[in-house]
Amino acid sequence: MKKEPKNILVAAAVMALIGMVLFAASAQTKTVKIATAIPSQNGAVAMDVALGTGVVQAGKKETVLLKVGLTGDDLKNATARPPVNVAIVLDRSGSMSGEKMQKAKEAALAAVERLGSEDIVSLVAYDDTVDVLIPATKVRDKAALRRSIQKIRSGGSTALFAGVSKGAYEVRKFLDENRIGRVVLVSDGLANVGPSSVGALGDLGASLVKEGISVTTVGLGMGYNEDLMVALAGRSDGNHAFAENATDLARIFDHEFGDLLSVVARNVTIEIYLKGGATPVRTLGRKAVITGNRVVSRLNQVYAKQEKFLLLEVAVPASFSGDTKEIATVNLSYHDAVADRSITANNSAAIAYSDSAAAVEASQDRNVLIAGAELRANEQNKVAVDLMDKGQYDQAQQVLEKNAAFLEASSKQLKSNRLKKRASENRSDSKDMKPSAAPRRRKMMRSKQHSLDSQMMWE
Amino acid sequence: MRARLIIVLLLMLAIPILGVAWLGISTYRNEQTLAKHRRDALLLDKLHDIDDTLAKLIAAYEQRLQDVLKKMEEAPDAIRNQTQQERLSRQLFRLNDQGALVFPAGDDLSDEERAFLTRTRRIFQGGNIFRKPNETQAIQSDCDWLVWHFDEGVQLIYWCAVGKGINGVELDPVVLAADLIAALPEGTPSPRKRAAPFRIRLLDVNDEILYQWGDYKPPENDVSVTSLKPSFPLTSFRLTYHAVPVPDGAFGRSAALGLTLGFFALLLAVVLLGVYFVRESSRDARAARDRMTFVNQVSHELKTPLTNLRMYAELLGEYLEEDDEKGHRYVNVIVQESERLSRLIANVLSFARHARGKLTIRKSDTVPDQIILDTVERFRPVFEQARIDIRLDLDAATQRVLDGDALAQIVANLLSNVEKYAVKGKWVKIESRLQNDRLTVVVEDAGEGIPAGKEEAIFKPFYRLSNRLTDRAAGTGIGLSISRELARRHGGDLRVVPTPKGAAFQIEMIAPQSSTPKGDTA
Repeated sequence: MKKEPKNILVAAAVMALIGMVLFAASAQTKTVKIATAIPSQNGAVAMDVALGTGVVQAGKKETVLLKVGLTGDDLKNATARPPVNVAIVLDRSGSMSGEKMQKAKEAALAAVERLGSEDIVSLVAYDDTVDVLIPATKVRDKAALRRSIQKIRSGGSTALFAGVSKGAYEVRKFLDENRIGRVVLVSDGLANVGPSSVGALGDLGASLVKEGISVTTVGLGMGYNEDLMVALAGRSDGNHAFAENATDLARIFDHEFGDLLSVVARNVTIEIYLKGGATPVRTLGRKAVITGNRVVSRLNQVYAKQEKFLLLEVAVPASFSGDTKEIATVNLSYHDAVADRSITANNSAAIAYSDSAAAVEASQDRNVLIAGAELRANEQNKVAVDLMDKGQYDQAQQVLEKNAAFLEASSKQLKSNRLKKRASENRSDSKDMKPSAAPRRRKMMRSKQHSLDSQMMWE
Repeated sequence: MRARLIIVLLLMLAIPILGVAWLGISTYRNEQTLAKHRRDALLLDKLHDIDDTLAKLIAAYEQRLQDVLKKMEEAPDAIRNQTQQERLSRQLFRLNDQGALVFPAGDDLSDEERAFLTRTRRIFQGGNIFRKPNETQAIQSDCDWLVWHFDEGVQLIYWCAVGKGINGVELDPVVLAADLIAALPEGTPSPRKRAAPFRIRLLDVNDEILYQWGDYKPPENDVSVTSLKPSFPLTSFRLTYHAVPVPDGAFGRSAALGLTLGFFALLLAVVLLGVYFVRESSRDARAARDRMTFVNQVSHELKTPLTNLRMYAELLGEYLEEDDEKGHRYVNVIVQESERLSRLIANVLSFARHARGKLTIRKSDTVPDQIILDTVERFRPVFEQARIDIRLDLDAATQRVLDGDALAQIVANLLSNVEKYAVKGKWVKIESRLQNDRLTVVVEDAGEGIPAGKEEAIFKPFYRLSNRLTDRAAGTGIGLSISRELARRHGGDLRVVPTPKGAAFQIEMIAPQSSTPKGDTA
């Protein structure tokens, strides 16, 4: 027995050691997996809280991405869709005459056709004065509504602020918890009567979303102010679309009313409390109010089968390898439009510290990182527009090309076709920097930026 | 004469008419001013109505905000939630009993909260400007507005004293703007054709148009007809009223119309009155002329039969026997009466000619005394019958150049008058004298005489001393008139001369000596 039993013992010891190491390693990753939150479903919205990387490098301060994703339930399960309360606000200024007015009317007519007898619709037309052509009324007599829409005639200058205000007033008449409030604005021009600045219209949007009214803005042609239209939509949690030709209006209205008629939740609030020494840095894309360790973001609605999310950069404190911390508590509250009741849910997020780079890499959540890359690139895309506005076309081109390169690299790393698509968009944005192409390109870029920030499914 | 009358008439009428015109113009001027003021006051009333609508909005705000402020939470995060829920509030804030800001305060502030502090630093620096109300205030309201002007515009702040401190809210200016717009009328009012186009504007603190309505499009830089500052706390806004500019002349137009119509109606009435008057008077003249013409015609017609009557009467006289006293007497009566008729006709014809301006005299060589004697002879039977004594004192027997028929007509008229009016006198005296070229004949009687003061009146046509039908005389009143005329045609006159008793008429004629004298030159 002398030499053979000794070899077996050594082998067993080595095996045991390897086994323990493996076990320890895999045990750590298991812990991380547990620490990641489980998607919770309670009501019409499914909340998903995820971290870009669940494991961070030990020994130094790090920044992670925290994503709170909300996905609306499929409406097919519901008995009836929630009723809507929508004001259509049409620009009838002189520039709208002819085909534009005709197509706008057709789009409005098509939209009215899709509404049901429990829905409320109103129609406001403005030039330098505002007329309420259809005061807020239930969609009972479609023929009468059609007649009112057909009667619009185009004329003077543009009191956009007043038009939206009167439209919101009509919606306000029948505003209630279970009705989806919306103002749909179609304009082809600048605002030039009444408050006309980007700030003022953005503030109007922000004040309307407080009441639960979102404004969707449709810019028609080349003459509208895209910053203004995007601000009004963005700050009121509405959609924005660029209708290059009047014929695009039909498709856009179709999408918009598709969204509108598929709302499953209203008055949505996401509250994130950071703890364990973690502090908020900023949000990417969607805006939130950050006060101390509290991050609050509000959405006016969540649509069926669509995901809206909040992406927050969090600074986590350094810690030793093997430590785990709960860094965030997430509270969600909303009004379930299908069940017509208020729902709350909560969730949390925790991180683990490790010395192993492999462990960090393995803990990557591809979706979060893809969203992060996309929104960071979106920021750069906005920078490019600022440079273009200053006339610094060469720098703008460089920024866009760098952006494209970044997106391409990320798309390879994260195996994302989406990012690849974004890369090619940035490349085409960087081409043809002639000032004459600017209006169209700028409108398209702004429209895209808004779409990414607000996770619009169409456009 | 007619022309003078018309001028006087026009002058008489011109004065009151001018007076009325002046009155009318000054009334019109007053109406103009009044109408303009009325219009402006009416428009201002419209703006006041708008102000009332806005005041209602503010009242609704106050109710809501008092509720919000009295229920303001303690914990900062809870207050933040409230700010988020309340559309009217841009930022909620709280001051403690020392007047120091306790929310938002500290380090963990959001970007909006920091911006709020920047905007309002001057309000909170200067101590507690939210004073407690006086005890003497009747209505205990411990809430009020604060209108604060800063660089970019105006802040409206509403605050309430709650407990020992102050809770306040900065009104979201965009929400205020949107609510003001929502409260104001729509663009195109329901078309009332008679209403004049207008546009009312709500201007913000920078005089930019916040909202406008009405169917009138004012040109660039149009000056408003009238404007109004809304009541506190909206005093930084302004309401202006625009309309088509109305020329000053358009005011008081209805008054002007009325006055002008009235004036012209008056003028027309006056002119018509004048025309009527003139026509009436001329009608009288025309009627008189027509009558004259008729009489003239008639007289002419009578002349021929009368001549025949006399002729045959005289023939009959010759035919009668010398001693046929009765017969001769009858013939004389016929002759006398036809004489009378002749004289009458002669007078009428002369008068008619005179009225037509065609009275002429034909001068020829005549012995005045002879004319007188012939005329006296014709009257002798009548005077004898009336027992009037004829006394003659004639001294004008030389041949002179004058119209013998005229002289005869005059003398005959005078004698006829004696027969009519001076029978009681019982005598008539005729005296004739010649001095150089002047012939003077005086016919005097001892009758009742001419009443005092009537010495000139009796020479007026148609004037008769008495109209009493019981009088013996049935004259026409033209005898003396035509006689005077005939005398004047001779460069002389017929007038009444004073006499102690009765009446005396003096005929004066220029009767130059004739070129072929016959008889004595006296």
